[in-house]
Amino acid sequence: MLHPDVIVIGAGAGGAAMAWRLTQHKLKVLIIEAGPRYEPAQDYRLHTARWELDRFPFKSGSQGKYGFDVNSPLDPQWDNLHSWNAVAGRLNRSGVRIVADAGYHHVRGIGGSTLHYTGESHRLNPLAMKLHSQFGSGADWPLTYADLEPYYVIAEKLIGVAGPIEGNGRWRSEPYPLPAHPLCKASRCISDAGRTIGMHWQANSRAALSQPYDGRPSCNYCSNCGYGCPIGDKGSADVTFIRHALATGLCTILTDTPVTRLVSKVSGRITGVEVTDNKRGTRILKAPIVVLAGGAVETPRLLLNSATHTFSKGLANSNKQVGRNFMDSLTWVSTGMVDTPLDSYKGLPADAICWDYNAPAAIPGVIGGCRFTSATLETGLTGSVNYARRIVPGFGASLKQNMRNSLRHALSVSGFGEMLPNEGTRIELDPKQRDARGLPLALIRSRLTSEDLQRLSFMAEKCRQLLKAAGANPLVEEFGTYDYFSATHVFGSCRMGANPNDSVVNSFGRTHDCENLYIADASIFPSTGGGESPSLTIFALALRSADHIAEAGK
Amino acid sequence: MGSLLFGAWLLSVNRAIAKTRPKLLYEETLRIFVDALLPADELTPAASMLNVHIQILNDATQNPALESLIAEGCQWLKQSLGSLSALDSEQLERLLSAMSKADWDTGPRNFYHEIRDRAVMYYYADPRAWVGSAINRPPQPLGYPEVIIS
Repeated sequence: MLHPDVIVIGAGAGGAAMAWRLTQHKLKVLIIEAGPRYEPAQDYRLHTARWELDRFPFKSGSQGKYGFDVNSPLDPQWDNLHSWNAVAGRLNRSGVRIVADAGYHHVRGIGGSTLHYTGESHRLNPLAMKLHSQFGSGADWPLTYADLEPYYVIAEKLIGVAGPIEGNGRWRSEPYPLPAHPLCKASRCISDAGRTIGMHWQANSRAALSQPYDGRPSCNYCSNCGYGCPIGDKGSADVTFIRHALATGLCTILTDTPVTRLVSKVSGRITGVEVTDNKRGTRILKAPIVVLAGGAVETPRLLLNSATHTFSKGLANSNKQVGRNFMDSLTWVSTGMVDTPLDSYKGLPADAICWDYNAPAAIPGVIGGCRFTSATLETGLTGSVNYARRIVPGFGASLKQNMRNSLRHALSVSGFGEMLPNEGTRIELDPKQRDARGLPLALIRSRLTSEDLQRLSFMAEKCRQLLKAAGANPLVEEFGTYDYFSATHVFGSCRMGANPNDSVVNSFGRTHDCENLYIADASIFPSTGGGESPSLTIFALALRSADHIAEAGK
Repeated sequence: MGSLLFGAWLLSVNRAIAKTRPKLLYEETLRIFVDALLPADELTPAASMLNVHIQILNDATQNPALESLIAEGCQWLKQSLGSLSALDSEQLERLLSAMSKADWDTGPRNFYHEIRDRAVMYYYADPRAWVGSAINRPPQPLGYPEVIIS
């Protein structure tokens, strides 16, 4: 494409939704994506015997590298929040918080992290958008739930969300496009147990088709959304927004093409996008509008790496807010064994949810909410390998017999909680590590406050109470973000706000400093919400920004 | 086979020799070890029948830390107990039980945990190990549609 109207950097949730909506306005869009294209039927491994070993297949170029500063000492006061399992005992014996696996769990590629997401499709609790004005914590959103609601509807229709009729504190102008999935046996057990301790559970809203829809088949409940959906029922961005954007003929995608720098004029206007790929080397691509959608880690990194003589602190960073207000994931999961075989390796991950504690003031003694979800499948207890490695201890003949006796009996519950910004949690450029092109890596700094740990402790206790009520005894595994940095949802590093002094973009995602530069990812979230999965809100914000771009260009 | 024996882990192993031993010398020790972890029964084969020990040794060719652990562990077992092939099943069980309960900062516990982890991973990734289990096929292409009907 020689003369695109808009260049979109990144083909994840925000970039995909942005590109599709722009094509609906007849604008020509060039998407530049650092990662590869995935072919679901060929690349995903769920039909093979080694599917638990292969997990999500990370292709060449599908993961970035990062520096980490997360190693705060672990306080004995919170000893009940250590991660452990029945096979290995305490998992982190170091005395400091450490990085779990990749630490920042993401995918680079067409579809981005939606390729490995579970597909929970949550609208943000309207109360979570007014944290500062109502509770004196965090920041307010510069737009209202009502501003976003029409775009939630569009996104839900595009990806095919299956959800319940029952409400959950978010008003809707239209019902979900598809009926909710029935709860599987294990989730019915959780729901029944929850009732006995005063928790209300309901069907989760899920980007997994409960009926054939838009040329895609219905879900066959294989349990493993996180390893990549080979049949295409999961509403990842590649089979929804990107597919429809490409069908217009107005969208072109460059894959395996990292953006190395945004080129700017003294006025701040973006004049080009510098890319480097192995085939064609370094070149500058141009468009009147540039949309940055690299996620809450790579987006601030690119802005900071695009510093010039005029903008010595990085682009869109005259107020030094780029990288600040970063928020990562506050999570907990407990697993126990129940006597009754629940066939808990089968079904739809996270099919049941409890919103009781989701509002900002719902957890006693601390601001910021959380939600609870059925989690046996999400935590990977869907096959023999993970049972044997994590929750069935021992060796010899007894191990093999215990494996056969255990396989249908694990039951997991998880909590996802609000995380508020703090000074120690931010994205910076790593002063020590560089990528293959010589550019500084992003340095992820993360600290937990005592309020975060209170919230996490509440989540852990609720999970334990619920499993006890379900008859899950003994507990066999617990994992949380107290002693591990393990972030799937990241937010806030280019905050959206009405005041240019304390935010990076306005309510339409346009940067305060650069008139033709927009951001369309979770880096612009002023708050995380009380555990809601962010993808649907990323979609909705991007659609709204796309309408604004189209309108402004008329 | 108690803590005294484990205390000898580092002292007893000639690391220079251990690091230069080719993998074939460790294959027999590892074969007996993984078969003690995962023996044959009436439904499923022993670990070595599924080449579990070979897969672990293959991992070691790409992983210097694992290569060193295997070398030191096998050397320690040989020096402490002689050939594992001379031990009967009860003696092997006592050995594994002691190793599994040793302190985490000892070589035997680390060897036991690392080899067990890899052994169960490769063993249960083989369909021949699924006979008699509730999960006896990959999740696709069939899925589990019956879950919403039941």
